[in-house]
Amino acid sequence: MTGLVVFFAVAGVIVASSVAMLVSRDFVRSVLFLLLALCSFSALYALLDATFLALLQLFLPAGAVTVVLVFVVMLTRPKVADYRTLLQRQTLYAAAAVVAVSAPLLDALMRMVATLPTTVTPAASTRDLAIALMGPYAAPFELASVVLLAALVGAIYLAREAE
Amino acid sequence: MVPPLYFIVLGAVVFLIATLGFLTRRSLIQALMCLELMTSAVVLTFLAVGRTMPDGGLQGMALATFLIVIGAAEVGMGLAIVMLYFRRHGDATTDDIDLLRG
Repeated sequence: MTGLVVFFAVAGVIVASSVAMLVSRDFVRSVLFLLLALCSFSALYALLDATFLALLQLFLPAGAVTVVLVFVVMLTRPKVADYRTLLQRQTLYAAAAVVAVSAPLLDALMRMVATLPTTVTPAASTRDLAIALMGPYAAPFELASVVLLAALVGAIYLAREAE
Repeated sequence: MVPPLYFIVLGAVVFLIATLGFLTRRSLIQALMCLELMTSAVVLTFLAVGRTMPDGGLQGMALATFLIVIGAAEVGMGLAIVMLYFRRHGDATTDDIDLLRG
């Protein structure tokens, strides 16, 4: 029961802040709404018994990525969006495309949910996840570190001052 | 326990909101912010579906870990490209970037 209350409260915050992020004209405010949405997602991960993922969400997307986003907004000082660019002709096409995608997407999700097992199993702990990441998932885990290193080097190479 | 269906529907709704933003916003920075929101929605779906599995959500958690890592790398690269483009052209909106237009 408490779980349901928490879920609907957090879900409301997420949907409201995502919409606010989209319609906000000021970039810094937009980033702050994104921060709120990402932190709320972490609460939902905790509700799904994924404690480690909840913390990871707080540190990486909510912590590191928003800080970098604020830095880029400050460094590039983008122009404040005009209201005209919020409501333009392509918004209509985009909305039509999203609605067209949403129907088959929701249909597929509903059919998938019907096949899910309903028995409740005890949640896997962070310890189990650590053992799994070092055991059966060791290869993708190492690959992820290579991807991160490549992204780091690439980002430094791209963003450095040209000589 | 909250039914996984609720999480999955919420994930889909947030994903669609982010898609709408990605298609309509003209600033590259806001496009990247929408991508970040999409990643989180997909992670939520992974965790919700994974939680119903007999392994107690281990598979979903492992996949979600990789997804978060890839998402961070992707945003880092994207912002580096935005910075580079801004330094060369003074602005970074999707309207200006049409070098490859036929």
